[in-house]
Amino acid sequence: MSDVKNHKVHSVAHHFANAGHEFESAKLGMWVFLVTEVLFFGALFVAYAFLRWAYPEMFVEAHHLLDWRMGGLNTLILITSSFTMVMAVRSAQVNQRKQTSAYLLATLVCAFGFLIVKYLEYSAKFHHGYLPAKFFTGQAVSEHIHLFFGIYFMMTGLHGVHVLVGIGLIVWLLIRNQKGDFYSDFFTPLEMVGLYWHFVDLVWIFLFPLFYLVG
Amino acid sequence: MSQVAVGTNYINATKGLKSWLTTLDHKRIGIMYLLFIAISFALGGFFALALRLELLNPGKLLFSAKQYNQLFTLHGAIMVFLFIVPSIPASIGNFLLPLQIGAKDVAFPKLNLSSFYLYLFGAIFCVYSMVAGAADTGWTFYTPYSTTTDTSVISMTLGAFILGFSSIFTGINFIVTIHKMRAPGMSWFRMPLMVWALYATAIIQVLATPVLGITLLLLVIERVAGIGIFDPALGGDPILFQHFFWFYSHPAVYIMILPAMGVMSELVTTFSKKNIFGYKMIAYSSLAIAIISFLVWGHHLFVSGQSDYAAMIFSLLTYLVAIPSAVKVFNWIATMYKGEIDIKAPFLYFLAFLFLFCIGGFTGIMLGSLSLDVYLHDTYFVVAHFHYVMMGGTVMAFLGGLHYWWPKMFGKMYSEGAAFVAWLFIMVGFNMVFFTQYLLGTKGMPRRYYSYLDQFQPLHAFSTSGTWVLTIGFLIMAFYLVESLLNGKQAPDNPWGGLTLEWKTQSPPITENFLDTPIVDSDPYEYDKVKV
Amino acid sequence: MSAHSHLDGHHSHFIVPVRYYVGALISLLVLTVITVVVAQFNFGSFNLLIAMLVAVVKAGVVISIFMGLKWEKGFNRVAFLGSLVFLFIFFLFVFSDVLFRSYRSPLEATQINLKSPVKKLEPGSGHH
Repeated sequence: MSDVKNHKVHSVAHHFANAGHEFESAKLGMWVFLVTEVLFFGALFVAYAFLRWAYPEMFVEAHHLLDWRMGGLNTLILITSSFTMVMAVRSAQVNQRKQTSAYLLATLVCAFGFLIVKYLEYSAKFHHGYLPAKFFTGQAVSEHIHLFFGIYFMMTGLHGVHVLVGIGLIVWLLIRNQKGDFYSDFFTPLEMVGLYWHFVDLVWIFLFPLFYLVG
Repeated sequence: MSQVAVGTNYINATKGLKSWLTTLDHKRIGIMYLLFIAISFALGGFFALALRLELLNPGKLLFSAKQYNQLFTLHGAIMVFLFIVPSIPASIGNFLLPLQIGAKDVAFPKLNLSSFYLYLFGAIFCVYSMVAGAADTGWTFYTPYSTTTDTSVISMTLGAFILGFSSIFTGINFIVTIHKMRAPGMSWFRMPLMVWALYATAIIQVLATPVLGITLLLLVIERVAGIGIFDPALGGDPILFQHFFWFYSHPAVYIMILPAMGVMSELVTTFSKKNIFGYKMIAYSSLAIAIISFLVWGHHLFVSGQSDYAAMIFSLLTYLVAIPSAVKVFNWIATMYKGEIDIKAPFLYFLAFLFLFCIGGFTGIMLGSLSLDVYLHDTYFVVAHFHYVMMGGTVMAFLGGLHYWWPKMFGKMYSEGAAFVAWLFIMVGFNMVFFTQYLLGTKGMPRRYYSYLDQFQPLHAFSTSGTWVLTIGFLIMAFYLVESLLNGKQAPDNPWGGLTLEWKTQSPPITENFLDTPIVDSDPYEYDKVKV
Repeated sequence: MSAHSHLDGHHSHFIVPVRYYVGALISLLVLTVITVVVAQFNFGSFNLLIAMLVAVVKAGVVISIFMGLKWEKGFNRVAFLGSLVFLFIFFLFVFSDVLFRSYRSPLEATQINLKSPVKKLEPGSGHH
């Protein structure tokens, strides 16, 4: 049952033949962008792999300094947010504008939750002096443990930046949805941001075991 | 269907600087890129003139050793990141791609404009780094020197990082454009070979450039925070940096050459008035080059300390990557055979590429051999090799394409006589500079050296004098091209008798490109079926 | 053959039934719990492999169901999966270097003892 009555009719850009053409082109564009993100984060995973191969005991020691429960909680939060995001897109597909906003809001709550847990984690690290690279002031058995924290903060930090960007995009979607921009024949921005958001979830799915569950 | 007043084209359709700076028209964006790419070339060339001047004799002439290091770093970084990587795709490619596939614009015009502004923004960072203590690391930024030198590595690398995004967005745009925006009837195997080349280039751009982005980011963080991943003193591995850097930078050289090869296919058909020989093989070879280019980066690390095992694999794969390039060269020559050769300025540059690229490519194969590379690595032989392929190859094709599509872009013809004279100076000057460097290299002259043994002085001096001949050639070119804009003869729609779609619309085109959407029902180079 | 898809005017987007999304959510939550539980046990060198296998399965669920690749036609699937191939190449070749640094190829490891065929002559004594 649709609750979308007076929605704006989306006008297709002049260089596209029709709305379907525009949608499929946008989708391909987003998938190709995600290809670049795969290589972007992927390169950091290669660096991680190198360090872990070179210093296996360091990784075992270091992971005890991380809190797997907070990491696990963040994993559950992001997985849930992926669900709420895809439900938001689906709600627009079936002309349920209020539901779209509700799911977008839920995704935002999860995203903020993720960042709050992250903040708590990071401040705990700083408190102990487990800072990246040359700022490391803590104590450890492995003399190269600053390398671990370097790559840890680099990867989770970059991921966090992507979450932040995602938050901005979801807020933008909320505003547009409230204005009535999205309905069954036009929900392209929702779909695009959705794909981006799932990718952010994807990266975390790998980050979690690799940093928090070593050994 | 487009309704357009007589005499309107994309240049005069709207007036004023703001209409250009906020344009979404791919043609205007291409022309703006062209202007800044030309400026970048001049800037990079200026640094080349300066460093070659310093090398006239072994002692100090004008610059200290550190300044010399900064000169070759700036020359390399500007030429690679600001000039050659964007050169053909961003200027000619942007202008041409929608025209050649019969589309109104690229898939994402706003993203296209963003790419242009990212290019400018990145360029500003690089220029800033020049005046704020320019980096002296070489454009390759090898660690641990780049993480510890006191010159401004961060601003240059951040500039390159931003430029990388410009390249990535262009790549995304071109891939979607080619997949989704082709005119009715234009199947994949009816596309001009230039489009295949731009497609293969775009694939490399989206796969490789992000890795450069991360590499530069890691470098900056290493400098700022001492992360240690590339520094042996902190437990890292400097060879890891080289793997990361060359994973992008080797495919990057194919970003540089593939569009040039696309131009070559266009030039050879039009100026031989003949169908291309082996269309599918040339199309497939572009894809093959794109894929294999990712398998060979270790040939830059042969003497750096990577494992023998990796070195052997990379050497073998390097030999493989030459095969698709050779296929293209043979097919172009076969295209010329029994054709009606029309030697105009664009074709002169086609011939230059054919000759010079073969020399450059072959010497690349020599360097790919492990035993030879042990001797030739980091000598002038390498410098000569990559200048033969990048300048003798890409720049020649870029100039050929520029001269070919100039009438379409601006609606003006230039002086053929002046073009021939400029070409002569460029050909002679180029070989004077760089063939000499093959000799210097085999005699043992190392690259990036400020000073050298007396016995190398005559060859160095000869090479330097060649740069002045080159400069004259380019100055003549700048002169007659500007002259053509001011006083040139009005260009017809199809001055060269080309058969691809861009020649079926007016010169310069209207903003919408075509009055009616073209319907394609033939292959792109059917000279045997058409009397032009 | 037309280049672009002919989704005109009232094109029909495929709407995924909700049960797929709910199923995906539940399986992902369960797999996460499994990952954590399994990590409490020590399987030696298999620890990493097991953790990665579970992660790959979770990733597969996100990619195919949430991101919709299961129902996508055309190039999108090729593009995304293709990118993984190149990432794999990056891993493969970096480790072909890093793992074998101490390996010396048999040719390099042997000392090549070329003996000159010339019979040594005392300086001063003439040639025969």
